[in-house]
Amino acid sequence: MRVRYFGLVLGFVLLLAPLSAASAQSLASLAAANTATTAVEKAGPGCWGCEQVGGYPVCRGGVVPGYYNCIASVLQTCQVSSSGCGGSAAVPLDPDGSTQYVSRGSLMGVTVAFHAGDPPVRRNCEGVVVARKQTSDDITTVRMRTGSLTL
Amino acid sequence: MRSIALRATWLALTLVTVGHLPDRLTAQACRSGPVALDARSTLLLPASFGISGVATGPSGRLVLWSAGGEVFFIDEKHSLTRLQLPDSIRPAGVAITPEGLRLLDQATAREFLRRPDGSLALLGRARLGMAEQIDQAVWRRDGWVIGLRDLAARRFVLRRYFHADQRDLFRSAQSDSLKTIPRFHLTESSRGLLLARSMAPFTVIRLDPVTGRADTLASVTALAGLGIPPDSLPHWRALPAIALDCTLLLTLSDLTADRRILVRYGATDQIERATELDAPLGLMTRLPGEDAVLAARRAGELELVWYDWHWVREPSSHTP
Repeated sequence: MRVRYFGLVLGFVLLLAPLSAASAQSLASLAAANTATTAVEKAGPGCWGCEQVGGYPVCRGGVVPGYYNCIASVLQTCQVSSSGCGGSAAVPLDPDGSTQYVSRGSLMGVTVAFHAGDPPVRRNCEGVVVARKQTSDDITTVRMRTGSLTL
Repeated sequence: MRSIALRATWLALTLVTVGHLPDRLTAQACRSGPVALDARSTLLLPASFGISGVATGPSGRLVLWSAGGEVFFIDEKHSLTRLQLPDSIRPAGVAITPEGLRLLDQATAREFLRRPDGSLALLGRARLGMAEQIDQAVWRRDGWVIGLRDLAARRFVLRRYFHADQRDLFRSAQSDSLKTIPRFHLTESSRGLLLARSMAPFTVIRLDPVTGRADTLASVTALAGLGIPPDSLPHWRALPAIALDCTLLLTLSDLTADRRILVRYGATDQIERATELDAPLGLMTRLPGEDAVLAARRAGELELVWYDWHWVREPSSHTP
């Protein structure tokens, strides 16, 4: 009975894994080709990287405050934003030139929460901004700098 | 005698006028020079909405869509309406036509028409190989031009799709790997289709869809004083090129910061100016029928900015 229950749970987890991957691909549709060519990533100091374990890419490494890299997910699979996993070319962009993770406030479905004292900008191991918090002063500055442009 | 002299003078004047007329018309249609952009109005977009593309229509109407399949319609008064599409449709391109919205699905290359009453009709399907993935589709007068990656051949391909006409217009050189297949943003201009390579060297190509002639503009990365260290280039991206007559504007974005470089090309396809901007802003498209440009700016959330543009001084004329 216990074995059957374990099998059910395992089946459910395995069922979720491709769903999670599919969601990631729809978020970053341009990444589809690159995720197929995942390379073994040598994790840098303090950064999360990707390793092949049993043929599957998994996230390994440390955590740097303010940095978001591989995201813990079902089966800890690599995601498109992580260096070496998805390839930097695959990062989906918004038309302001930022990554779309910034707009969504989440990375691969995981909400990026900002707590008091947190750095206002979160980056992945490549230094790419994946989440940010703008103060009212920041917003005023952006509007002032972009009110009139001479090119 | 006097009558003959008058007629000869009249004839000469007519010939001179007619001789110069095409040049003047062309010059008026194709000018270049420094431009100034002044923000006119803004529209804050819903939170958590990543934009994949924008389509422009007459009277200032716009359609925005996300990779997740969300579609927003923006009318002349800048009010925003969310359109409901079936979950299975992820637009690679949208066109505003008198019949309704034409959509090209990214995964299946199927073309749909969303009528004003909300009903959806399947119009057809573009040719798409097993190893081909669509990046973007733009509506050009009477049909689609589809930018895709051929994963088997490791090339970027530009393909026309108008009923039975599905010929390839452009094929990039073969890449070393899947990861290095170039990706291009497509935009329309009066002189042809513009292809802006998203990653370094940010090549801009102007393609004549009729003759297939492809002109490569001066390289951005060859520009001295651009201020991007070579080892930082992988973190930079180009956004779509925008044509203001014969002037082209290209936004380069630093993914690690708010830094942008706005590059202006002149009529001779040379870079005339690169302007650095320390703010998260990207130019999206020229609005048809008016001297205005649409941009996206991050001010808390992502917002659209309508800019009026004008020549800073009398523009130089160019005969293409």
